[in-house]
Amino acid sequence: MVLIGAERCPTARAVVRAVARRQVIEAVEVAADQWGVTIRPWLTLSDGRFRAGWLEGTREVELTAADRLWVIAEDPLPRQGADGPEGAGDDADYLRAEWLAARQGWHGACPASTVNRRGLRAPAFTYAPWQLAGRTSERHTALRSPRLALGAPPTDARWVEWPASRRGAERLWWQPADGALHVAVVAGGEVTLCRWAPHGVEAAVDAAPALTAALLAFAARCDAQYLEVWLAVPAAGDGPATVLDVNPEPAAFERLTGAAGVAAGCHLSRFVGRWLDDAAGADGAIR
Amino acid sequence: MILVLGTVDELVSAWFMAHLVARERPFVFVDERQLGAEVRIELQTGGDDADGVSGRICFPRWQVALGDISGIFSRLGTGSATLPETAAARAERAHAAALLDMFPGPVANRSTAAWSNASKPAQYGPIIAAGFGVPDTLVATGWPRARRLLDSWDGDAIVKSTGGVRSLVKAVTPAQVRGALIGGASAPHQVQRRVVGHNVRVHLIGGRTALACRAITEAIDYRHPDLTGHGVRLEAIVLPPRVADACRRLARDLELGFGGIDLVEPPGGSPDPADWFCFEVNTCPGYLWFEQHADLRISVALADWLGGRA
Repeated sequence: MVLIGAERCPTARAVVRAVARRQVIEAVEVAADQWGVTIRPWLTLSDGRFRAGWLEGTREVELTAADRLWVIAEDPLPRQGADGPEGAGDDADYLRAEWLAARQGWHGACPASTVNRRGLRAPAFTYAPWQLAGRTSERHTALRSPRLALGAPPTDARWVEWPASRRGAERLWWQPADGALHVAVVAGGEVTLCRWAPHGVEAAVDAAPALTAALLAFAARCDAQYLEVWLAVPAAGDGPATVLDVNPEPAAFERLTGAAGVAAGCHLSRFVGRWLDDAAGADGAIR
Repeated sequence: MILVLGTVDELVSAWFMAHLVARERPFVFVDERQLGAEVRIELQTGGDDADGVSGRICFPRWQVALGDISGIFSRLGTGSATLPETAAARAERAHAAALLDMFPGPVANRSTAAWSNASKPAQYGPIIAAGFGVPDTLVATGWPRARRLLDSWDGDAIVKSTGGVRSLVKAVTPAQVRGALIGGASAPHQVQRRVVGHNVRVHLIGGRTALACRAITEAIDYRHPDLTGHGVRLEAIVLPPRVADACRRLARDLELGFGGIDLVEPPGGSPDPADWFCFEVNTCPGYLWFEQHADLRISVALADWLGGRA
């Protein structure tokens, strides 16, 4: 099992490693800030079959369909050039683009059984979170998109600015949705729904079957095996939950406390256990 | 009407608009340099209006509602013009990118779909899934693995960029590859086994129309005959049906309404896509050269598709 960037999510890392230990599976880790910098991906294609791995100095590692891979976090690549890490000008931009292209290609080609495969065709890693949230709606389901406005500030006072940390350069506004703030951990065909308590202890609550089904379908549309979905959940019977944010990294998992943390930990443990146990490598197919 | 996004002095944008003018097809043009200055984009989505996107393009004295736009042709980011770097300009460029992704009608091409061409290896999986071959490839630094591959290719290799930057495809010797890959190479090299046959460019429009031409040349890289001392002649061809279907599947898998698919036809031809190689799919094809020199009616097909007539 290979984890890349797991140090950014130490609680999830501990759970995953504990499961691997129980199943006597070796865990190899690559730090996010070394991935693509000193530990560099390679891939080959021969007779239509991919092979992939990385070079660490002169040591070559290859991942096969029998391996398990979860790139939990990945850093942007630094500018590199003939003059060193901060090499100048167009050459440095070109080199960075080439390394980035190699890493993106690697994600699509690596034969290992992969959780949340990244790359230029992975919705969870190509769309902005607000765009993902805006793509949730399907009529008559238990899940809907937030009401979003892009452009000049709306004059209606109901609109508030979307958090700057969860958008890019765009000017984005939304109408806060009714309901209590929840986070759903969606993985392995299960949903753990937690009522969020920023200054207290989160509680695990039962998700209605329709909401569970909608969240599982949403994660599948995002091509994500692990997904965290922030929701405004109205009181029972008061309409669909509104998606507020989406994250394929176990960031909220790190912050869950109390019984909710325990429930999410057990959920992650079951999910990872099945993934590691899946000898056939169900997700090892090349896409 | 068709919305055209680009810069007025970018050749392909200008060519397409000249076609629309000549055919009296209604269109509205937004120059990328005016985004955030003279032009704003407003979009609304979500809430109870599930799946709906509304909005408008705002000019200083008039507006175009999204509902009046039948399709979008984008050449954003392709011109050589210097773009303003104000916060307003960056915001409006982000809004334009979002519009391409969210617009409910035909778009050439959606922002996120266009990214796949930023990594040639990222397209190889879909190319293989569509039924085409991809030349044996190495993307790496480090000599030992490259040596094993080159040995199996009898040293007959070319080198090209890994990413989206166009590079001159060149034949390389094993010694040149070795020199490039050892000693802490500063860039990954994409080395491919050289394949023989005629280069064929297919423009796939609207998921259906496949307009193809064959490049007759001795040059390794037919796109740069001037740099290689060879001439090139383009001739329109009709693809074998199964090859055309494989192109359609590839464009669909890459979610491209408009794609420039680079193929190599085996010597003597073949109806089976498995006998053809595919190098990459250009997600923002500069089709002007092919239309002019092979008399392919790409602008007509694009205008029909984006105008809702296809």
